[in-house]
Amino acid sequence: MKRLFQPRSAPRLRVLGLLGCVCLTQALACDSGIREQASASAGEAGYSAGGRPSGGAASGGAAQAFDPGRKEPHRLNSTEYNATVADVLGTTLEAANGSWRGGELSGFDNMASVLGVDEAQYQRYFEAAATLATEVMASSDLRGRFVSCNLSDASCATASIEKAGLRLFRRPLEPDEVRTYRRVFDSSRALGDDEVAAFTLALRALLSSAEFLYRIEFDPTPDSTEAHRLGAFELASRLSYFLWSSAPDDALQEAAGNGSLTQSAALAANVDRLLDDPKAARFVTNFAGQWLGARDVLSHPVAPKFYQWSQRVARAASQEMLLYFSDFLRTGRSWFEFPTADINFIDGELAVFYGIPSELTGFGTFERVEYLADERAGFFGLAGFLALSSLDRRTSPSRRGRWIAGNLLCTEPPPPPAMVPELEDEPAGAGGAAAAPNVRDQLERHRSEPACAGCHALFDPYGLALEQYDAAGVYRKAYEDGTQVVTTVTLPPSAAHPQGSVISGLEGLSRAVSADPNFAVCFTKKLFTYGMGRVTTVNDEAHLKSARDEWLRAGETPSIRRLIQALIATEAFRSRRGGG
Amino acid sequence: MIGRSLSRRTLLRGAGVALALPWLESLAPRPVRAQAPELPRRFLPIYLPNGAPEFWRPTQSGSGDAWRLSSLLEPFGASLKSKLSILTNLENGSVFNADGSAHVEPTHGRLGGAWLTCVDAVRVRAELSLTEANGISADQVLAQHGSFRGKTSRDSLQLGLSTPLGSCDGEPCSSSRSVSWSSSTQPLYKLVDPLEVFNQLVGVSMEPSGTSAIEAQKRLARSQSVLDAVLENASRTRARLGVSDRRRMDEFLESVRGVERRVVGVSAGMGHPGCPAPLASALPRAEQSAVAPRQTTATYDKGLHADAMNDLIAMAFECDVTRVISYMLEDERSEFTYDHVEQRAFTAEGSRSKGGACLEYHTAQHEGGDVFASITWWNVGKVADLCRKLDAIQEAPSSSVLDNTVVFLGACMHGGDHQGDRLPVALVGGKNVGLKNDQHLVFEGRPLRDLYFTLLNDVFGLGVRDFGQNAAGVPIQRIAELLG
Repeated sequence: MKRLFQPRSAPRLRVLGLLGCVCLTQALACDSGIREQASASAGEAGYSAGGRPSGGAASGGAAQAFDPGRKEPHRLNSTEYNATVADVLGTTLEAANGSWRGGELSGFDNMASVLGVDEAQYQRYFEAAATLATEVMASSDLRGRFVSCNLSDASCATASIEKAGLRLFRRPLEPDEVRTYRRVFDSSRALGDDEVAAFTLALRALLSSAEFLYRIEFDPTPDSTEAHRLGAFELASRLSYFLWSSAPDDALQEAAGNGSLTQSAALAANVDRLLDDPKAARFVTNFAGQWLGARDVLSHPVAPKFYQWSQRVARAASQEMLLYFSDFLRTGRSWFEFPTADINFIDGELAVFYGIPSELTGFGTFERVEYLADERAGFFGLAGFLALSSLDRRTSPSRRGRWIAGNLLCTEPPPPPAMVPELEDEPAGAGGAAAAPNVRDQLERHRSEPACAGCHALFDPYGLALEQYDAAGVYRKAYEDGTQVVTTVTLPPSAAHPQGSVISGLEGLSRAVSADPNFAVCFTKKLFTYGMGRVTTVNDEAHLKSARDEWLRAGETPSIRRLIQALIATEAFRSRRGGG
Repeated sequence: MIGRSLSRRTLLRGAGVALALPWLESLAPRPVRAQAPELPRRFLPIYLPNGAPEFWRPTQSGSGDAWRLSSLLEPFGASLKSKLSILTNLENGSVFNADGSAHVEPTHGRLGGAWLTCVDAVRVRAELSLTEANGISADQVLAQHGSFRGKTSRDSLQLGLSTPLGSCDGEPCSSSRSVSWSSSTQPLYKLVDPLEVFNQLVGVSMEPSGTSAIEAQKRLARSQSVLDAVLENASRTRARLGVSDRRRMDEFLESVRGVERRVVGVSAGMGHPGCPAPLASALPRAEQSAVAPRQTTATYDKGLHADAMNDLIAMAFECDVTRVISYMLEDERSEFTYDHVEQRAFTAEGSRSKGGACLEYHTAQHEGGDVFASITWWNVGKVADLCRKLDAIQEAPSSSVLDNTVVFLGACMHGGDHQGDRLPVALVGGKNVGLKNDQHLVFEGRPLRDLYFTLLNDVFGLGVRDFGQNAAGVPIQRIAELLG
């Protein structure tokens, strides 16, 4: 990939890195054998097949009984912008660099409610549009996507604007919209520009427009709060941005144009098609990359005393987290094995780090291993997770525990009270070389404070069970001061275990998390939040429950794919309402 | 990433390059400054994340020889001490707590969000039923006022050195990453890449030098035609949306019109012919990204980044491109690893090198001690460099750019205790605009908003009635001691 504004000297992980990308692509592409058919329980009638929601209100009153939630105009974030121009224009320029900021909420950067625009950001869009339009029109290959006639023919410019508009606005343009952009073409011609330059300018205008930069859904009656089905093109966009972080392709637009997409069976078939496409790798990097923290591993600080850790290990560990997640997506195995499955993805760096025998040397070529003699079973054994959930110079069982409770079980503890005493920590020696303290003992002292005990009991045990992994994720049996690591803990009380179950170590923790009812609830909620690009409300509970019930239906394997299918089948995904 | 191979000395100013009005001079004579003898007044709030250690506070109070620089303020040196005021015991906890408590959770997100707004974002979000909201920030009140708006090509700029992205402490990330809010719903994202800042300052999308006037006019006409279509499309879209969705289109239209003013109103750009410009091609690069590799001396030179940003801020003021800049040294709750900074041993008297690299910022804050102090010292040093730079630019026979600028260096919390009182606050410069210099004022728990109120009204002459919130309903008051 060329970068538009920012040639990069340092190598950077692109999508999944070179080989990882290939690996994942093949993994997803060869998944065709595993198909889950979501039950199409939603009503079929009452929505328009056209791009406009004019006939979009659901009939039969079925849509009135629920709240699909509010989805405001959604500005494309940097990732979505780059993916969209890559797919639609065919360009290899990456306009949006890391400095194109948007807000983040609930751990995701695709939340419409915090994706505002300011003048500096619009300036970037405006300049990128010019660069991209020029690049596209300078290449006869790329130009042909939109211009297949002779621009000097009177009707050709209009036809080409319609064609480009369909892809860029993700819906057919209305006649007055076509006229708007046709005027740009004409005014350029009037300045003496040739046809190609004039069409470049029209393309630039399309790329600078709100309807390209935002995914906008309309309501038949703008100020009504009545729920209604999405227009087919709007549904196509929801689908493609969920699973591809990008615009619908020709096939999806065709399914929207002929109305079939709004039928449950065709919708489900398209979900499968999108998930089997290499572009679904973006779902892994953007959803799992944020939720599981893989994106943050590279920038996570690890103190120099952990000599086993390096930038190369960090890259590999980050990639392994994504490959681990995508293995579940690819193979269709049960999500409940996510905490327990003894799978690793290693390159030469990670093989050494884990002590797993491998022929591989060096960085970036990954193999999938199921090696049982190590201490790495399940997600919690992955180096990336273990490092990310630690401080730079020592483990923090509270931090690990809060990460697990918050991200995997969706149980956020209340904030600490005022003036909580800090854990005593090592004196800051040169380069962090001073001996690490026995964190468990310190934490016990801290928890003996009555003000602290109640809350810490809600999350610390999850972290304490993992104390056999240091702040870089290296396996240990003793602390640096020689004291033995103890990993037997009492987990927080639950319905099944009112006194809290006693577990120990990685294996005990992994099984307990897998069996925790909140594990399924939480995954459903995280996936929904990302897929919808909005935070959940109490009104979503019914949608989430129906998706979960369908996902966990007896006799079916509860795979990631089945849950995606079930979420997309909900009225929350297929409908919307105005905000009043 | 900022390449280490780049030597800054080759980049900026060294050759004393004068910018040769590269665009459309004939179309856009802009002798604004020649006609406006009044010197510009400027505001530069600089955000220090994670609070400051105890060695921030000077041991004596008073003015002139009565007070001395503390060991953490020592980088300002004697020459800047005479232009410095330290304000001790300002607090922002009263925004949240009617009982005067200085504690609020989560500390970083909420105190950070309130630093320049003095508003409890949680309360505003609940009132507006939005997932992201805050109050308008003091710098934006200024930038939007008639005495600032439209006077320069950019009403304000938001800059930062924040890379990589930090944790958001359970709040919307805008609370810890954006100190400037142009309204209660719009955080302004900051620029972190020096080249992008430069481009925004000089308007690089405009004409290359040597373009003929006719060709230049055509280019303008093309841009205008694009923007006309964009505005037409957005207005059409807006009309079809419900009230609550229109907010996004209003914000979009406003942003487009802002760009239109600068692109088409070619008088934009840097003001006067003697204005020196760096060589854009040699500027270091940086980006703010969660996927950037861990920032170490091998891949990133934070000092180079900070120096380039200092040069660009000085250029923006000297060339009068803008008069309001907010600048974040880091995002709140920064977890940047300062392993390029050597540890120093601190006492109340001063500090000396003790060897060993500094570690991660946020953990260091919790630990207190020399690592935290050394990181703060380094950041104070970069701000002192900037102030010296501004002070070296002569603006009138007896005043410097610094004398016409209120530099406000502050943090949202005290220090390792994460409390919203005893805030570190330093004011530098501003002698010509009414600030009294060279003093250490110690208050008894004075709300931070009183500072903004005083600056907005008594220094910048806005006449605002109120600013921010006070949970106990204590009326806002001016801090007379600040004024000369």
